[in-house]
Amino acid sequence: MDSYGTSAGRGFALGRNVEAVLRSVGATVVHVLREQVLTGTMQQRQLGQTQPQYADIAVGPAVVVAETTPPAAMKLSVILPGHEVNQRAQAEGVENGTLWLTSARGILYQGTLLRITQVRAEVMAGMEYLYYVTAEV
Amino acid sequence: MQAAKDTFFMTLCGRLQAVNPQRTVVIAGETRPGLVVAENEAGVCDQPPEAFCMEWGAATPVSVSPLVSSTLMSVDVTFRYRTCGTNNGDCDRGRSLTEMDAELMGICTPQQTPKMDYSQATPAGLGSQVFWKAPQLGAATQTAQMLGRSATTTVYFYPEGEA
Repeated sequence: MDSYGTSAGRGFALGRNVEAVLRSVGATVVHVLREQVLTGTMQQRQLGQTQPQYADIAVGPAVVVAETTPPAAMKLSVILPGHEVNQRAQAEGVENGTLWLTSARGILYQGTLLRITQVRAEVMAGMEYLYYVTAEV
Repeated sequence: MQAAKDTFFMTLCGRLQAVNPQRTVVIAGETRPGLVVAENEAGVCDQPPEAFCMEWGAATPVSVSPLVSSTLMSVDVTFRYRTCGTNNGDCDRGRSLTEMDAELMGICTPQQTPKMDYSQATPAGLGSQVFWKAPQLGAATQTAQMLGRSATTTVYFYPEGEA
């Protein structure tokens, strides 16, 4: 039991429920690109003089909804389970899933790299259990 | 133009470390001075709170008259910053924002610096100055926990190799 007491259990339960619902609607997997290794000096990184090395992290189950139709530039709404994202964030020592997503290079979906332009978290009992991500070319 | 942009950023970054060394930001696990250039970071919507985020805008020749022979150019800059105060959104958000306003005005003074080439391991002088206007502070914007603002200025410089 943590500082949230038994209410934390409700958050975890909701998180698992969300994951089950996402799977049941035929969810897929998206690939989040995150900087893996710091290259160059800090000054070079500040000035954008380095070529970062990215890790390709598969995250799912995800529901992907196209916001535009071709030939318009691709724009997606992606729904991600909080449990999965938070696990990834914790593994990298990032404070929460929102920060983990907003600091990513982008989302790779069907071979196209999309910038993450907005992240919104649903929170219950202090736990981010669902993420709505907007990603566009 | 890149040298002017690099010079402006590095100058303000150095001044920020002198004005408030505690103004830092953690990016990819690395603690840096709390001033970042949006176009140089991996995440495009990542604007961490309690730090300044710089965005470069339009660049134009200052003189478009054929009667005036000048290569002087200008480029717009927007600073975005936001704060949740010292206690996660409690009552001192305004005071924290005012501190950030003062820091921004402080690091932008004096409004000039020698232009340097930061593409080399040891920065080299380029023989001209980069100078800028005082920042114009925009209206404060508020969310449930954050109070923020954007400020704009214009940076002037001579293109590389011409002065």
